[in-house]
Amino acid sequence: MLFNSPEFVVFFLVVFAVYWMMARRWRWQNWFLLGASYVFYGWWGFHAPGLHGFDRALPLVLLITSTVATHVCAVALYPLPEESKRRRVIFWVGVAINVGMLGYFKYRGFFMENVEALAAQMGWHLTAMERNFILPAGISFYTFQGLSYLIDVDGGSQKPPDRFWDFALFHAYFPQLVAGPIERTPNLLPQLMRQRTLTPERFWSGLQLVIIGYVKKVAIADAIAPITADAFNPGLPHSGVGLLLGIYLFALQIYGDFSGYSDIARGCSRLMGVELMINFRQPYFSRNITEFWERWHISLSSWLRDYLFVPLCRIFRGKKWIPFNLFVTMLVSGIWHGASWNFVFWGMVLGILLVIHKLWAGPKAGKHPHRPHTPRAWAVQLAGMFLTFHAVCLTLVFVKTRNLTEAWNHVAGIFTKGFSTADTIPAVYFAFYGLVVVLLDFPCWWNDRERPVADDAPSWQRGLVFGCLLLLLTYLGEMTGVSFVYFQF
Amino acid sequence: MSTLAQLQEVFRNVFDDDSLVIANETTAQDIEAWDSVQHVTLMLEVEDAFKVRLSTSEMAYLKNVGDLVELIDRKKKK
Repeated sequence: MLFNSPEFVVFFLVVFAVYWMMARRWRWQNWFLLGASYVFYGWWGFHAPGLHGFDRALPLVLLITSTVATHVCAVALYPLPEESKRRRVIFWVGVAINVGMLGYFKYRGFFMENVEALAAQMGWHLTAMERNFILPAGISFYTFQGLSYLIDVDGGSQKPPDRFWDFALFHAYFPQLVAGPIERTPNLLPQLMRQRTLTPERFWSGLQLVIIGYVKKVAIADAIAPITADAFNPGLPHSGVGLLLGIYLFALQIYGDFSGYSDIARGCSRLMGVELMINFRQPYFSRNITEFWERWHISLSSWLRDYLFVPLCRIFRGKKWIPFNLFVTMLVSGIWHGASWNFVFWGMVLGILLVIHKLWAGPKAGKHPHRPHTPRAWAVQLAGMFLTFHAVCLTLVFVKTRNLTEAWNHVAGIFTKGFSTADTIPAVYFAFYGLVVVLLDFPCWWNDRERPVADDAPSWQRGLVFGCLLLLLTYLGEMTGVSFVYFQF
Repeated sequence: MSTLAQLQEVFRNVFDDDSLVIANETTAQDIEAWDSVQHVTLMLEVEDAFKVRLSTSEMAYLKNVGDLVELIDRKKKK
């Protein structure tokens, strides 16, 4: 089920109403939420075009299998002594099941394609291989969430819940199941194992987050999508400026799409009295690429830092190994995002950019300016933002194009194809939607808060801002159920 | 030497600044180079300096230097 579909709106209203009818019995609420989460997730399989027979139930079966396997391993290893060999075996079996399922369902197509290509190079022809694979939505997200639970239980910082159902809900909680935030056990699990309340403040702030999320997704990302689809269509004629604007617009689209999803997820969850971690903090205001990764898809970058970068730094110890560890982490991030050479290359470019920044900036301490207050600080801020935005745009070319040749042609075209009068349309789109994003994000960035208007702002100010947002949504948005870009990951 | 004073030496070494002064209230916001990568370097240096082992979630959920001092003291007592 997609957040931007009429079905979801009906689904959520029903869930919300029934959920709070059971307000005094949180265990009943959990059972109900778990059932609702399976309906939400199963809906996708039963309504996806091209799926027949058992394939329609497969995504749900995989989710439940992953939940059972992860919890059984966690419960089995927890009481064993740390140095026990059995504990190590159970832990690695749990990891292997999760990674194996992800690998098989997400990467076997990519793997087979490359085996075929390699065989062709050697003069063999392998053509009988299966080509159409189902990629269960959100498998990368819930696999990582399950892995973090298993690692935390093994590390001793998390006790497995006594009831399987509490973990099952943590693993399948519908607001964040298919596209994050990738939650961590210390934040989400305790909230699911106690009484939840809904205060008027929580209700309003949750509702505001949902509205902001829909504006970002429906009125910004979906409105831009047709323009970027044209700009990245190699069959159409493009000027250099048109190609450049296409990348800028895609940067706005993917941000609106993904951060909008996170806002809706966090808002819906808050309406049910459960707080999810923040996933985006105005990433395009970053002054360097390291800061960008601390503001973009925070739940994934912190996951990679804690469960991959830290172990790598323990194995390859010392400052001289940091660039290597960073590069490997970003490479894995690229592979996590998609099963294609484009994403491998994307991860490598990001790794190289991060390493360059680390080497250039060095470890020197200095006073961290929260906000620029002098003309010089503003100049540094704006120059940093400009460079970082363009570096990110360069990497996004690999996300949007289908292969490396297309990516190269797109970037090379910017410098060789001049401009044309047709560039006015994407230019106007970029100016308008760029302004909307800045207006939404600047107050959050400046005041370091999650929403553009403060809760204690005069009611006319709040009314004005949310009136404008609702107008934007009404005039520019259509609940057409255009898929979220990040679902493919 | 108090934990905070010893920790200050680690900070000075990691952030390459001999004049750096930290307090319990110091956060990553106060030191320009204290980003997520440098945080990991810092935590591993802390492990070496105090001969303790920090878990992933302990590293991730620290709010300020005071939290870190408390965590080190708790670990050393064990």
